[in-house]
Amino acid sequence: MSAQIRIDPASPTPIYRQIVDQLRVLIVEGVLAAAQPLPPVRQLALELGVHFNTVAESYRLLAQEGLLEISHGRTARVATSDHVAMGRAQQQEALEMLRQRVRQLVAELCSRGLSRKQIAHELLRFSKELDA
Amino acid sequence: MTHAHSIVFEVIIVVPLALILALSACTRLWMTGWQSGSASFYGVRVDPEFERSYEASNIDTRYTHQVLWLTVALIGLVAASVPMLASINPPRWVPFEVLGLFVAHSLGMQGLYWRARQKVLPFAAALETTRTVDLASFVELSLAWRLGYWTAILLPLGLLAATALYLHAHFSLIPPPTNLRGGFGRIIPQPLPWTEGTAYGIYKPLVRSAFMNLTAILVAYAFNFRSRISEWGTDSKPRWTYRKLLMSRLVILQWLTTLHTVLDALRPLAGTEALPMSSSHFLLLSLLWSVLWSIISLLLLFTLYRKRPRGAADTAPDRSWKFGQYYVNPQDPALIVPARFGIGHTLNLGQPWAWAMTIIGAFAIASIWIGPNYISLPHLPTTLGHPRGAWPSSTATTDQGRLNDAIDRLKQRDGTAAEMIHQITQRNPGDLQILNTAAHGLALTKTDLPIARLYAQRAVAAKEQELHTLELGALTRDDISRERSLAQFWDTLGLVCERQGDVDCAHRYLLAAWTLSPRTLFATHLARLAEEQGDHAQAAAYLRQALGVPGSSGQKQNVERRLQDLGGNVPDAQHQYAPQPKEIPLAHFARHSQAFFVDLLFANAATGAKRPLPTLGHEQTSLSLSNQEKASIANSVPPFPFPDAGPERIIVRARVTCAQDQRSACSMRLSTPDEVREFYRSEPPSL
Repeated sequence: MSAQIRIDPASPTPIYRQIVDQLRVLIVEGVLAAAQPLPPVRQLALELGVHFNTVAESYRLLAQEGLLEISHGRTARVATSDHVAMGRAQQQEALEMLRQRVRQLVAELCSRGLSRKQIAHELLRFSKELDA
Repeated sequence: MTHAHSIVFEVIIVVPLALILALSACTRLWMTGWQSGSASFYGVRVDPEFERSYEASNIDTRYTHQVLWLTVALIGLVAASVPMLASINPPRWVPFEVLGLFVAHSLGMQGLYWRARQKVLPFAAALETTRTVDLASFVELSLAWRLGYWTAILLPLGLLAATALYLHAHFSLIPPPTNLRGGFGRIIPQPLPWTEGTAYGIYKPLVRSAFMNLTAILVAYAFNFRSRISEWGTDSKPRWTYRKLLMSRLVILQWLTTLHTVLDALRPLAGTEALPMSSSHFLLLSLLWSVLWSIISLLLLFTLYRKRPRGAADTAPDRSWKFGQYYVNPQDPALIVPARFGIGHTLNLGQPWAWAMTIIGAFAIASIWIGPNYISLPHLPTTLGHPRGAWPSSTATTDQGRLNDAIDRLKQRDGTAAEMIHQITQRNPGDLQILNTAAHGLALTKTDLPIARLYAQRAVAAKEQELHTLELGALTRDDISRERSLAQFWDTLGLVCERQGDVDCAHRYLLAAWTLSPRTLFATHLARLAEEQGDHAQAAAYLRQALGVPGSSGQKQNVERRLQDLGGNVPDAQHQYAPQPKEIPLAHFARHSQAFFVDLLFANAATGAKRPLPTLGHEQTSLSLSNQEKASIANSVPPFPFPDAGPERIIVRARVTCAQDQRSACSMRLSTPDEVREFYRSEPPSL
């Protein structure tokens, strides 16, 4: 899997959120290795054709989530520390959020014309990938 | 205007213009097609198949024909208007006609391009809003490369500063304004900037180059930090190679241009002790440098063409390309993007920095015209705060005129005038008249008296040296002029000594000046010296004599007032005080039937004989003098009061007359240099 970020300025999702979501996936899935430096804010903003603050905001949010380490506000690197183990209540809350989002996603995809069977098939394939 | 003239004029003016316009049209058409094949057609993003469609072919053909017809029409217009306009005044209208022609051609072609683009827009591809970035494509340039690059980019500014300092240090060596013309002087007469003699004119090449360097630095900044890597091609290695090549080209051209400017700026010092190379050598070097610049520039352009990246991503919306040529997108942080029209890159005018670059670049170009060359801007300071640049502010066209201005200002207690005087004397170390005038002005205002004395001594010494070779029988008008100048210089040195309180020095030089050339001014100086010594009678005596010798009416009025103050007799009429010719009786002298002139050569006691050497005025070939008569003359004349041990010689002309009724009743009267000059003016000697 290549480390690509794809943004769509026409999408209703804010650009900073698009960047955060995609970078999070790349980090969690290990495409971006621990301690790997990310492009400078200005350079990434230039390439994406967005304002510098948009990219800076994305990096800040990821740093708050513990996925990035920003040294002295300059170089952003993928965090090396292990995630703090969540408590039972937090785990329940996170699982509830997952269910909620999956339901929303399924509803949206159905409204766009995908069948329930197709969606179920894709989710099953995805769960197998996760297990692997 | 005759028919033949009209044909010649058309050949000279219209044919080159037609060629230039045709070349411009062809270049335009070629540049329009440059971006073809990169999914951009007339600055509009289209599907790749569109360029092969009938519509595209139709639009392209119509645009080509329109551009060619516009060019032909303009050439025809010029050709038709030449006979009419040429009969008015060709040198006046030609530049405006040429300028108007190029502007009309350029605007016309842009308008046609815009029209063609409007026809392409309906076929524009669907706007692709998504942008993809590969995080692995970010490659940082090494620190050494960056350091080296920025040093190379910034160093030319240091070079310009060093040149400015060098010019500043040798400002006094720059020759005064001249009418020297250069550049396009043969076609459109224009003076070289520095020949105007203003500080702005002299520093102008450096100012222009500084603007160009600032523009280059901003472009380098844009290439380094404000451009999209993904727009330099799809392959990582070639696009970095291309980018480095572009950046290196910028540095190379910047260095070549700056060095050329430095040559240009130093040209005023050519032929001086600061730069012994002659001006023509400078010009030759400058021309060679221009040729080198052109060759290297073309080579770099050719290399860029070969190495240009392919398949570069262009995600900019079509609406951001105003008129299909100018990129204006405030949402895009990129300062510089690949051009959709023509070769290379263009600025994103939606960013303030791009405007800054445009304005600074425009200043660099405009500075060619602003200033002394074409447009006179009176509000522009001509000295630009030059601390030693007093002389450029003078309206005089010669250094002697500027010196007089400075002395006037010094009398009005202008603090900068003394510096101006010193600057002018430094620039004219061999001009004795300037040295003398400067010393006189400083003495009158009691300013920098030790330096004034130095100036006066240098002038006196040089003038005495000039008179060292004076020979009897070979007297020339220049010799007479030199003698008068020497009297003037002695008087100045005497005046400076008097102001310094050196009475002995003052008396020696003032008396020598007065003896050599009795003038009102010299006598007043002697009178003041006597008055300072408390000898009012002697002062009054000098003042009375002052009224009877050549001098201005103003000087004589001052003398009369001074005489009144001293309680002396104020003359009823000036002629009462005219000194009676001092007749010197000559012993043992044969009677001559007619008066004749004798030239007496006085050599300084330190270098020559103690007594004068007489000879007949060389225009009197029919007379002869015996040795006894010569000795009589030599022994009768009082010695000349040489003020110093200088090597000068003085020739004084004397008129010898003999009474016809008595034996041995001849006498001699010495003439002043003024009288001799008057004599020569009426009867030029056969030299």
